Amino acid sequence: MIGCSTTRVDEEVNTAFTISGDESIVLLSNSYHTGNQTELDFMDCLNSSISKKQNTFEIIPTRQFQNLFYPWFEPSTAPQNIEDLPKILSNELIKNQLFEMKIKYLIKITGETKTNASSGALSCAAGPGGGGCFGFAWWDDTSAYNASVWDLSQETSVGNVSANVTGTSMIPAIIIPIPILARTQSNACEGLSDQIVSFFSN
Amino acid sequence: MNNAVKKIIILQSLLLIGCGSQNLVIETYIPKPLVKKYESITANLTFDEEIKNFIFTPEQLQKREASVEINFGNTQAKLFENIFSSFFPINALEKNPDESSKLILIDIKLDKFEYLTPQMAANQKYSVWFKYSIQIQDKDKRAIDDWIITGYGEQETGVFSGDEAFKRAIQIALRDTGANLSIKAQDELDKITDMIG
Repeated sequence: MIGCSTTRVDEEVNTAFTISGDESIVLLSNSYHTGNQTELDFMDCLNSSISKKQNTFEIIPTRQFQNLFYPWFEPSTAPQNIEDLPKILSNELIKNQLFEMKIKYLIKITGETKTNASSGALSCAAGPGGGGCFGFAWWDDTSAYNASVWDLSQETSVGNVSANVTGTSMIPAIIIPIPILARTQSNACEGLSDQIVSFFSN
Repeated sequence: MNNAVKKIIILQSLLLIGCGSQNLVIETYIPKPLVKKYESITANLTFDEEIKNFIFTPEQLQKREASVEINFGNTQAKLFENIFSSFFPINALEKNPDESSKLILIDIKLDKFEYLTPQMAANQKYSVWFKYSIQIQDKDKRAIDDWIITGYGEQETGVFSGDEAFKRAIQIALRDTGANLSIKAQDELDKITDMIG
């Protein structure tokens, strides 16, 4: 069963941009060194969701990109904001490989899924004659993610998109617990991937 | 078997599972770094014993929190060979280098390996640190440079089992060590090439 959730998406375009069929984009999350906690499974979901939703441009999987450009886009070494970009792009080896692979945009992902509040009580017991649960528990989750689109040839940020999903999950239990979960993270993945695809389709 | 005996056996089993030690075997993949080549240098690498075949066993204080044995095998040596061989040819100690290239000696020691488990830190993640000391000398064993290289990795337990999350945190920290070493070497090798003439 799926619980209720509310999704809010935003888009902001700073400068004009284009992308053609043989050009590529890469998604990269900000580092946990800076306190960012974007989940690996969220990045996997976003990569595969964008790849499925369009055929206008190529998307290079994050891990493949990091391996090809090792050690320059690792959590502790990747540019964390647009001001860090010129320094890394002054390395000719990196610049040439980006050019050869036609990687035009780098999308920096920040954000995470958090549980804001939880309440209720659920207890389970088992004995030789059987077992069961009784009670009611609920919690609120917020999945807030932001994607900042960087043009690697112009060394500028061309825009931002964001998705903010809130939802309440609950587990009522009378002998058998019935989880009713608000899938805020997967809804945020869907919302953000839709926004990124639409951003490049404009 | 009566119920009391059954309960005792179940309780003992649970206690044994709870106190059982973990045995981790570490293997990791570190990509070839995208760095400048220095064809005029050849290097001899030497490692201390804790890098060649390191089996970590916790000290008494740590044992109370998490009893774990970590077998690194030659993963660390492979990491350093992989990174340094991307910059210049690595020379086996018994061979004389080509006369056209200049020899440098690189001695690598593991200074510190530290970790925090979710039980120790009261959170939901494993955190791992490595600290290495690297001494660089010319062919006459005169000191050229000393580097301190660190690596840090963390992994939320999340969908992983305890062992798997710990292993991933170690692998991330080793990969971070390789990244920091590559960048340090890229920054310093021009200067070292000039120094050895």
